Amino acid sequence: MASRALAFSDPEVIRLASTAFVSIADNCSNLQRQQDPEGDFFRLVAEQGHYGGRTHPSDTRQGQYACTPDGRLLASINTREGPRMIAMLRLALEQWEAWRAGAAHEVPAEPTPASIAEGKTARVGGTTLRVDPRFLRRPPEGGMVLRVFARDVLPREHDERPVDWRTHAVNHDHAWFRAEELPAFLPQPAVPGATATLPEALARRLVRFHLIDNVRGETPMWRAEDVQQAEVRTTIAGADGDRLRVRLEGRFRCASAGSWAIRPFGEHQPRTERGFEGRILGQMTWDRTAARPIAFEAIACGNRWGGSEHNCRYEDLDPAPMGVLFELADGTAPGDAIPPQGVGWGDYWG
Amino acid sequence: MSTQLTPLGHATFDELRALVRPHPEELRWLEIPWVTDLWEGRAQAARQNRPIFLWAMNGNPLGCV
Repeated sequence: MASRALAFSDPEVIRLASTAFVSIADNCSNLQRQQDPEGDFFRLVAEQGHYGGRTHPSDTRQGQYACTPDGRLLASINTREGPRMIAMLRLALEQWEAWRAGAAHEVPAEPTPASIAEGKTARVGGTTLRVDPRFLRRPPEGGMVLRVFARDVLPREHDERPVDWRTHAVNHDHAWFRAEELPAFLPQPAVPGATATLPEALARRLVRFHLIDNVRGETPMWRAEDVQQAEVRTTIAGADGDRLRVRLEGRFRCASAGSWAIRPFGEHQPRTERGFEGRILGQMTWDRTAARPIAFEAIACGNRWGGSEHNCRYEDLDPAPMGVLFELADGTAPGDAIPPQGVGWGDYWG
Repeated sequence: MSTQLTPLGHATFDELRALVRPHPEELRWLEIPWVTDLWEGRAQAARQNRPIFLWAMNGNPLGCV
C-alpha cells in the first residue's frame, strides 16, 4: 500500500497512467486463481513478467505490468518508487511503439473469450464471459456500502517513530450490508428515544472483519473466537420530518494469540499476541420514505497491539491508538464497488 | 512509544474523523481513471488501440492491500 503514497502520487506516473495507457487496478490474489478467461489472461501476462515462475518466498505475482491487449508483455516491475515506475512505463511505451511499427498485427476489436460458458456467465465489456463464481463479487443490490479507512491516531507530539510513509499510512476497505439487513439499524418503534441492540451478526461483522490493524498493510481477519466483545447500540436521537437521526455507540475487543512472522517471509515468532479494543461512536440518518440510511458515519477508536506478517508493524508492536472511520459510499468513487477484504473469508455474512 | 489516546467522544468525534479520513494529497493516486475489471480494461484497450497498464496487488489496489 506504500505505492499509493509514493509511486502513484508522483505527478509523472499519474500523467502517463492517465493519458498513455488504459490503466487497470485489480486483485492478483483472485486473478492468479480464477479459472476463467480473465484469470487465463492475467496468468499469460504475469508469467512473462518479473515474478514469472517464482514459488519462493511466495508465489505472488503482484506488481505493475504493461502489456498489449492480446497479452504480450511490454514491461513489468514491482516497485513503490516513482522513478522506477516511470522508467518502466517509458520502456513499455517504447516497446509498444516498436511492436506497432513491426510485423503486421491486428489488435482485436474485442477480445474473444476462450470459451463461452454454460452455467454462470457475466456481461463484461460487451462480451459474455464464463466467470469463476468464487470470485464474482458485486455489492449487494439495494444494500449499504461503507467506505472504511484505518489510521494510527497517536498525536504527533507524542509520536517518537521515524517519519516515513508508515507514520502517515492510511488503508482503505469497504463494508457491505444486504438490503434485508438495513432495517436492523433502526430501533423500533421508530420514534425519538427508542433504543435497540444491533443484531449480533451485524455487530460481529463490523468488528471481526473491519476493526483490524491493516493501517500499514493487509492482515488476517479475526477468527470467530478472537472476538471477545462486539456490541453496538442504536438510539433514535431525533426526527426531522421523514428523517430520523440515529446514534450508534459500542464497544469491542478482539485478541488473538499465535505465532506470526512479524516481517514478511521472516521467521515465525512464537507466543505473540495481537489485538484491538476500544469504543465505537457514530450517527446515521434514516429516511423513512427511502427506508434506508442516507447518511452514515462512525469511528472506532482504541488501542491496537502486536503485528502480523504483512501489516508492517515491525518494532511498532506496543499498544498505541488507532482509528477506523466508516462513511456511506455514494457510488461515485471507483473503489465503491470493490469488495471488502474479508468477504473472501467465507463467513463474512454470518 | 507513548500510548496517549485522544478519547473518543462527542466532543472529539470531528477531530478524530479529520485525523483518520484521507487528506486530498493522499488521494492523488485516484486521479488516474482506473478501470476496476481486467477483462473490461482489456476490451477497452483493444477498442482504443492503447497499451494496458495493470496494477495488481494481493488485495485490491483500490481497497485493502
